[in-house]
Amino acid sequence: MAQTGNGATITFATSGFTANYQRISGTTITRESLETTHLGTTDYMTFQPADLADGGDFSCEFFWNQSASTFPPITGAAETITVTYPMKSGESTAATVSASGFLVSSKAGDLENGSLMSGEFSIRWSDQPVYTAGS
Amino acid sequence: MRVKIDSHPNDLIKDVKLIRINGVGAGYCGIEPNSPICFLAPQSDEVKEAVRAKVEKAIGGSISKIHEPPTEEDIENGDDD
Repeated sequence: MAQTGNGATITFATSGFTANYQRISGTTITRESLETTHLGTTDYMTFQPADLADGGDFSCEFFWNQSASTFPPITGAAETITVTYPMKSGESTAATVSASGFLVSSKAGDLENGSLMSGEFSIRWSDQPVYTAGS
Repeated sequence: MRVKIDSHPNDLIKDVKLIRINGVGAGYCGIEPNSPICFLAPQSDEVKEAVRAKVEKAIGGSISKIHEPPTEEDIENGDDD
């Protein structure tokens, strides 16, 4: 049965940055296509897959804690990042997506009436993001 | 309370371990001294100290810091982490 994202979190193994997250976006892995169309091709253009896939990037939105002295590690080196999924009933190990990665942007919370401050950062996976099923 | 240091769910990751409390994944730690403990959710002082002791024994040195998501109380009271 499909689940919501309630209970998911993300951890940084070296910097240790942590927060209360409102949203952890999914990762879009992409692969380019190489056009193989030639003068003898008929009807449709043709393509073949490029050699390598791109692990891609994703973003996280979190409640901005103005009392915190630890900020998203925008100047940090690549580190092991683990997105931990909500644990399903009967599981003792939640599903994860993990790999080495680093921040490529970090935005502080907007200051306005009637809205909780939330920050946002984006992460670039620096190698293959691996999904591991819960168990 | 049983604290166990287990392999990261992703077999390719060797520099981070999964921390289990009573068999359930509760956080991550490094494999060398001066690396942090990162909990998935806020923990009691008792749990934190038990995990710290287990991890420090496993890595053969002190951890750098314990990280956990802030509680509402932390934010309202101005906790600095």
